[in-house]
Formats: sequence, structure tokens, C-alpha cells
Amino acid sequence: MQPSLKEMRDKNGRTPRMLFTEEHRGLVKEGEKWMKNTASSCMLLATLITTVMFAAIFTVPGGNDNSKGTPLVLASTSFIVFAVADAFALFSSVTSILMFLSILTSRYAEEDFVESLPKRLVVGLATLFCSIAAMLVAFAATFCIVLDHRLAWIVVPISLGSSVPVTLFAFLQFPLFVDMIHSSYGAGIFARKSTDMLY
Amino acid sequence: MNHDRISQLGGTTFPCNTNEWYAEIYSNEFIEFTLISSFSELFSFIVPGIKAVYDKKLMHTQVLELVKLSWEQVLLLDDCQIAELLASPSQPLFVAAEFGIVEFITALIRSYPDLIWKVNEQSRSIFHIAVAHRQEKIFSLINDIGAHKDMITAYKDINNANILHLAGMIAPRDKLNVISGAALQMQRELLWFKVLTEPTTLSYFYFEATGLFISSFGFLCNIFRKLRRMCSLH
Repeated sequence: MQPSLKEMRDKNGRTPRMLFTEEHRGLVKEGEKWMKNTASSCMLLATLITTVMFAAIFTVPGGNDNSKGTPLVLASTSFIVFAVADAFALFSSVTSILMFLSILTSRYAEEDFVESLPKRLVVGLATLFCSIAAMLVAFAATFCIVLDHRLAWIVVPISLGSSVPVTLFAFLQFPLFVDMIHSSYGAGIFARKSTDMLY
Repeated sequence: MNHDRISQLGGTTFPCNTNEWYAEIYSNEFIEFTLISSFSELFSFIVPGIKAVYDKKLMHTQVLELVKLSWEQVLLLDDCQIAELLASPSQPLFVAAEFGIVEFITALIRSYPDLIWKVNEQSRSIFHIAVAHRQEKIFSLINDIGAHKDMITAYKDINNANILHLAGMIAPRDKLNVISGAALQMQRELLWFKVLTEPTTLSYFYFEATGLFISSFGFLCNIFRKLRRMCSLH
């Protein structure tokens, strides 16, 4: 496009950029509201997970050894699973909190809507999903530690039961996630197939 | 070809408006192949809804053939008669641009390239209309017309607005609401504006080609200089 087109004025004396800003003022406001609502509700969830996961590692099942302070069940495999899942859930939920916080404190300039805001939302949602999944893994592992002596079959229903909320979350949040990915990382609307060519 | 008929065509040949899954099936070449082959009976037994998609696709292909055939007859007329035909009673070219029916427009322009210069009563070309109605497929055709695009995009409409002003105006409500979430709508609007304002996107290939030429020319010059120096040393 010729650069001179940018400086041309319409009959009301506005350049294209002025017209764009004027016409999209409402949409920017709406977009800001939508972003803030989404981010704050996701952030609430991420904060809860962080709190719980932080506390969980210090109140391990089976209690601690009084003299050394190490957990009594340190040797069992389930405990290792629990510890790793707990740490993972904590890290990813903290990342998610930071992402949503950066959305909330963003300046909401017009340009932010092109890349930075949608990408932050994508990362935030992905880490939130990871932390929920890891939280349920940690729960299942704790459950196994507690009931290991009596009920060996408990592993199956527990793992099945804990996969339900994870899949549910995935299905419910997936459309938004896909939209975000598609519009931020996809080929874009101007991508063309060879069949569409004029000549 | 009246207005209603074309807009009806737009609702159907442009399956992105309906839903993603349908569009996917519609444009899938493998399925097309399966349907025309002898497996079609079996295939439609396995996937019940496929017959409807097939029928629709068949209809669109036939409609497009019909358009091409009737356009061939129109081409036998002389230029001013064609112009008259396109201007009244309705303007098929501009209506097609408005509804994003890229097949119709390519079929017409391929056999009569002068159509890209036509403007409507608001003195907007098909590309201006495509920008105003955010029809990216129609607008992308601008990359195929070479250097003419600089002339066409410089057109101003009767409100003294150029093509960038049209991109600056908010998109039609129906086009905007297809996208979920106000933030993503804003993203789409900004992308449109950026694509138009960035000089690289449209003239990109020219710049790249000349850049490549200059750099390779410099490279060759260097080699020649070195060769000459080597020759003079010996």
C-alpha cells in the first residue's frame, strides 16, 4: 500500500488511524472488560490451588519424624509421586497467577490486543490446566499412601475418579483455548490456498 | 441474477459462516474423492450426514458451471453492453464482493480482467467493498493483480475516504460476531488495519526480489574483483 494513503483525510478531516481509534473505542472498552473478567476468575482459581499445594507438602500423610522433621513415608513410591506432582502444581499455578496478574495490570493499548494479551491468556490457561491435573495426581498419590495397606484396588477407582474433573475442565475451557491459539498462532485469515488464486 | 439469488449463493458457497466441522468436511478433498468413487454407498452408510454435504457441494459446482456458461454468453456482447448489464438492475459483481463469494468473482475476472477497475455508485472497487465488509478471501485477490493494485487502492470513494479509512471503520456486526470474545474481535480488527497499513505485506515480494537482486549482484561483483586481482598477481 502506498504510504501516502496513511496521511489522507476523509471529508471530516480524519486520517485512517484517527478514524480507527474513534470507531473502535467501544470495542477496546468491551475487550478490556472481557479480558479482565476472564483473567480475574481464572486467577481466583489459580490462587486457591497455590494456597492448597503450598500447605499440602508440609502436612504430609503419615506425619513427620519428630527428631529430623522428614516425612515418615519418605521411602514409598507414592510419596515421590505426591511430592513431584505437588511441586509441579505449585509452580504452574504460580506461573498462571503471574500471567493473569499481568493481564489485569496491562495498559490495554490498542496494539496489546494483537499479540501480548491473547498470548498471556493462552499461557495462563495452559498452566492453570496443568496445575489442576497435577493437583489431582497429588491427591490420588496421597490417597494411595493412606490406604495402601488395606485396599490395593483403590488405585483404579481413584485414578478414574480424578480424571473426570480434568477432562471436564479440558472440554469446558477447550473452545476458548483453541480460539486463542488459532487467532494468535494460526495461519491467519489472509492465508490462501492455491485454488483461490485469480490467475 | 438478482440480489437475493446471489446473497443466497453467498450463504451457501461460503461455508465458513455455518460451522467449522461442516466447512472442514466440505473442503476435504479426500471426502470428495470418496464420494465420487464407487465407495459412496458404503461411505454414506457409515457417515449418515455426508449425503447432504455431497448434495450441497454438487449443487455449488453446478451453480458455478452455470455462472461460467452464462458469463461466456455475456462476453459475446460489446464492452459498454457488459458494463450496462453489470450496473443494472442489480450489481452482481459488487454484491458478490460484499458476501465474499470468491468463486463467482474469480470466474468473472479470469475471462474479463477489466472488471477489477469497475467501481460502484459510491465509487468503490471490489477490493474497497471487500475491506469494508471484511471479506478476506476477496481482498486477498489483490495480491494477484500485480502493480495495478497500487492504482486501485489509491481510489477514493465519494466521501473522500480511501481504502484505509474503510478498514478503520468498524466491521459489520454480523462479521464481527462470528468471532467469540470482544478481545479477539479487536484483535481481528487490528489485523485488518495492520495488513493494509504495513507497506511490506502487499509490496513484499517486490522488495524481496529487488533486495535479492541487489545482494546477489554485489556478491558477483566481489567475486569478479577477486578473480581480477588473482589474475593480475599471476
